[in-house]
Amino acid sequence: MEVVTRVAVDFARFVEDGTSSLLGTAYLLTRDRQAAEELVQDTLVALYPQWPRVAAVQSPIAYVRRSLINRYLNQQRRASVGERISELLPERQPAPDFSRRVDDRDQLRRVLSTLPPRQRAAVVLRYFHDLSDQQVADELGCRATTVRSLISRALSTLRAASGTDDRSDYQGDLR
Amino acid sequence: MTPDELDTAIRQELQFAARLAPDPGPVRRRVLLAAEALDSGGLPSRGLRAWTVPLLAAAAVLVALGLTAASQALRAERAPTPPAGSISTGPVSPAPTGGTSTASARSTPSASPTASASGTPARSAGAGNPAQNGGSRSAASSAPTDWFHGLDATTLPHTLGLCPAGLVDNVPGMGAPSVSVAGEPEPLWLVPVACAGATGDSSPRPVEVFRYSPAGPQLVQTLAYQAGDPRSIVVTSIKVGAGTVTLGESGYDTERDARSLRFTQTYTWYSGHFEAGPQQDAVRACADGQLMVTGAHDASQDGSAAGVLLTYTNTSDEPCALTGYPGASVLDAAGQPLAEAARTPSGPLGGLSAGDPPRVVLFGQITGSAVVEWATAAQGTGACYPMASVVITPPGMSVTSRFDNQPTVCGPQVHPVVYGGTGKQQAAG
Repeated sequence: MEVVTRVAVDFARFVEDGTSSLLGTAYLLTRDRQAAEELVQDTLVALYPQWPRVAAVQSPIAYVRRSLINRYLNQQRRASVGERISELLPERQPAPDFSRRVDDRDQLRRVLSTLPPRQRAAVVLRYFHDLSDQQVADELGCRATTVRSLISRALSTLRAASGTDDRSDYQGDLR
Repeated sequence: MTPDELDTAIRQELQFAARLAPDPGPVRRRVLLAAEALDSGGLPSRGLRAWTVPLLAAAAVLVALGLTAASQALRAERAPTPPAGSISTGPVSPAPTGGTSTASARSTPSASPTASASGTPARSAGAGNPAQNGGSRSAASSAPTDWFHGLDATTLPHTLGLCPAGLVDNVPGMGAPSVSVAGEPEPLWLVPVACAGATGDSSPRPVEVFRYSPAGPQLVQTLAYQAGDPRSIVVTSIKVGAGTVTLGESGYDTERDARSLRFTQTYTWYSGHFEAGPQQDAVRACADGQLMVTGAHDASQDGSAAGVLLTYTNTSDEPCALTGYPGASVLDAAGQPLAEAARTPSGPLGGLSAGDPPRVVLFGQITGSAVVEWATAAQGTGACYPMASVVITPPGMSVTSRFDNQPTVCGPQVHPVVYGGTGKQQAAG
């Protein structure tokens, strides 16, 4: 009973501390508040029975985030057929002289949300969580070269959309 | 945009978007409740285990019934037993001993012959047998029989054609409330379901109604679902009343190309099924605290017009609507009002393409925007205000955005809120 209680307390503490960060990641991946809530909830509940093992790893939050990303990628694979409704409004391209800063941000948001799931996950881990390529690779369960390729393709898409004229490839992080 | 600027822009956008993530409080609570249920063995259950509690409850009821019947039979044996035909053949003399209910039953010509013959009051004849007593037990009970709790939703007999085989799952976090209705001996259970693996926007999410049956749950009806309905209705909330169920529903708005419709619909139990009522618009006007307002300076290419573009983002979990013109005032350096911006449909920097101001429903990434603009030099007879401040308030709200030290503000005008982040309404078609 004591073991169960200790696990429950440890899990509750993690839920208290880690849910906000996980929701941020989930929302950046799904761009849907309800889906983000469900993703975080399902991930945490699924990990609870094996919590002693999770708590024993060096970084439980990284472990849980990896599980969350795997779940998200699996969902995307399973949901690849059928209707996909976007909450984004189709807008005309803005006039060149019209509030460029706001338009750039809108455009960037639109393009980020259209990236394929694995590219989006790599971008979120690299630019939002500020992880190195190797850390991103660990969380995505792939090699660092694959991460560089994913981010390079994502940046290429974003550059094309934002009109960036510099065509230099992503060389990887400097860490 | 240089690579460094792009790098910075991506980080800023992700930080900005992450602020729109849901509030962690409700998720924390639901996760801990689910963990607690796992600890007590309440969640993952299939087959025999799922039926253990109802079976034990039914057994307990039967035992109690048996004891009651035995006790009453004993009392009946002690009391004088009237002739079997006494009820229908004539007046009955009061029994010298016996309970009030027995006497009452004897004196009522329409009382059940079976009950009278056995000396058992009619009221208790079916008290422990839900199949015989209609809805009276459910309505009278303060705690309805929990026959559903512990069932695995993936094993229920789901709506045909809703999802590919075996891929129906209950919607986490929404619960499964019950409702007691006339004519159903046990509460009906309302189960929000979706196709497994689908996100909230890619699958219909109806509510299935199940009734108890000894052989297993039976699907009675599916609410908020119609095969082939292009609106892809998603149920977002369930509220149970007396014989009614009110669902919060979200629909696909083809005009806006977004899931921006929100409405409620009440279903009323009538003659063995739920009758759907009309869909009521559930979107309310945006209130203070729901919106994040961002402002950006704006100017026409030739510099003759300047202004402010306001972008409205709904940061709450509920959609809300903005309709009409923001309030816009010009103040002097001391904060004294100088003029109100004129309400005009459009101008050089933005506004409507045609028609009346739209009702802009904000939700998630569906944003709205409005433009306040002015000429930078005197034109005609319009007054100009040097080094003025412009204070802008969203329609129907009191939160303000202030833009100080505008060099020259001539003929200020404000345009209605429109969909999108550019302040310009898209032309129809």
